[in-house]
Amino acid sequence: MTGLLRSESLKVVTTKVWWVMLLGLLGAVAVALLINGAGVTHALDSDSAHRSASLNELAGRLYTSGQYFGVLFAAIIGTLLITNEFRHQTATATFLATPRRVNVIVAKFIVSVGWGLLYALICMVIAIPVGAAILSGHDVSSQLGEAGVVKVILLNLVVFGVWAVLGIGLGTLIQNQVGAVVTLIVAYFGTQGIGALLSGLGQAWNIDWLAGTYFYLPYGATLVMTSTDKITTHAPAWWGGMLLVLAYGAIAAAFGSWLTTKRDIS
Amino acid sequence: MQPGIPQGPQWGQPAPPPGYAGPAPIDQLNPYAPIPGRIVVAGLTKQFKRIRAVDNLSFTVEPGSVTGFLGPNGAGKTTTLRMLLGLISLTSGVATIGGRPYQDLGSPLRTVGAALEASSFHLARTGRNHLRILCAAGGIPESRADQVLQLVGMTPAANRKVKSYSMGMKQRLGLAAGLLGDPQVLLLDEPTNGLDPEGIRWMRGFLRGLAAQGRTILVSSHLLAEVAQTVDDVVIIAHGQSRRQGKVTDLLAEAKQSVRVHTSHVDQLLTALGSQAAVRRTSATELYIDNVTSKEVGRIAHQAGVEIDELSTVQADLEEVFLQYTRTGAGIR
Repeated sequence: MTGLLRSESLKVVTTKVWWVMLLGLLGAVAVALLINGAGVTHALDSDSAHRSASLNELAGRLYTSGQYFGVLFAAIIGTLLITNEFRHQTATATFLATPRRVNVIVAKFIVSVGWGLLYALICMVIAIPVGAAILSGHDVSSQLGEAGVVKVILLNLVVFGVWAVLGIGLGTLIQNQVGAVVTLIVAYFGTQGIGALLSGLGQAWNIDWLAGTYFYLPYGATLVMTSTDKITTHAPAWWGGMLLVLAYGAIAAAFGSWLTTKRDIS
Repeated sequence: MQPGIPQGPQWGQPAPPPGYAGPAPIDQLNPYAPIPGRIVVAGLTKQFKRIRAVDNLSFTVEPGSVTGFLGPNGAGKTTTLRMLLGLISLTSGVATIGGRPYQDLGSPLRTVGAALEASSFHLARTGRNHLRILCAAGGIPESRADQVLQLVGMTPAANRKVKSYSMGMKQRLGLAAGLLGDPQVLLLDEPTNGLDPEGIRWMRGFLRGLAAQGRTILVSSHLLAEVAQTVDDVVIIAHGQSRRQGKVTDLLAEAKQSVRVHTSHVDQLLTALGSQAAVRRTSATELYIDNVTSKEVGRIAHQAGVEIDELSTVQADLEEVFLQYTRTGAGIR
């Protein structure tokens, strides 16, 4: 397995996609820090009794800056790792070297989860010091001693990993690389839009389960998982969000692996 | 009688030439016989949704022999090779190497090397990195990548991206990948496809070198002449079915020989040859005479006192022999 992990890691680093993604990631972190920093300023300017978010929540948002696009990049790395094999027909050489295909898929899962974690770490290495500096600029402590904030930081790692798994799963389902990446992006933003719409309708019509829709779809569940505050009364608890996200990843992984072991490589 | 084992002439192939020993005895076709390096295909069938790409195909490749796997495009050669390599599932039948399906080989790259297509590379990756990735997956030291690149003469291009490679360079890289594990068995799918004459000559020489090292080689081609000088045995298929199997020398013997004569006394020579001779007159001074030796023609001309300008033996087109076995409709379906 170590050989396979090395093989799959080499596949990532021997093309330039990973650092193009990395550049995008750094941009995403910068933009998110600006937005979240402005959010902190706005929240702290208002009366503490009427604040829209707790200090922990504000700190959590700052420290997970870059997550919104970052999880997408992690997922794309996973999708590319599998669809490249079909697009460039390297699946032939790959499965000749390792005829037990499930081992290849497992190695891809591990490697892309690793890249997801790496991306999360890179985001937080920037976001945590900068975020702490922003907070201290408002004479607020970093909140890094707060259990809720530490939990959010750790869960942010999990989130990136799970999204990488989702990306691989999607890549095994949709072999066409362009199709898979476009589907990923459309699904990422599309489910948010549909979720928001359904949740809005649910709130307007006072239908509780419909109002919670947004938070049961992959991105909403991710958001729930990495928030310290309960976002709305309709949203599940953070661990519910985590279970959902893990379930989405597991389903994608299991189905994709099964499909790949069955498929004719020609 | 086991089902799926070819029994000889009764299933519609042309009558075997004299000296053809007939199909191998059934016990030798036992696909599970643990003979290292032997390739066994027995009763192999692949049914894609509507197309039967390979239809009850059986043949063996003995260790240390070089076998040409011939057939027109779409005959099922690639599908057969991919089934042997565990890339395509079998509908029925057996495809084993050394008595085992590819998936069950302990370290496949060290047992079997394959070069299937010249297009199976990530274009943005260097040739060397492509090989390093395979080394890592196959448990082979990465230094081997540089060795095989040297073997196929690709060292100067090792660190260039595959997208800058010519067709010939990609074929060489594919061959290098197949040689990574220094395997005893090699499966090569149309290795000369898309090569220029110089590349073809290089590839032929390289394959002869590999064969001389005693490796078992199964090389597919849609041109008999392409492999005739390299292989010992041939398996000819069309429409996924076996059409002819045997020694290449037997097949070559079927190719008609003619003698070409240049003389300014054509009419005199024709009279001397007599009416039995199969003669084609191609110009005022040129004759083709079938089924005789040039020595014979020379003797007749000498006796008749006919002056001859040129006398040579012409091997009929090898492809004609090949077509005889495969031309029953187009190969592409």
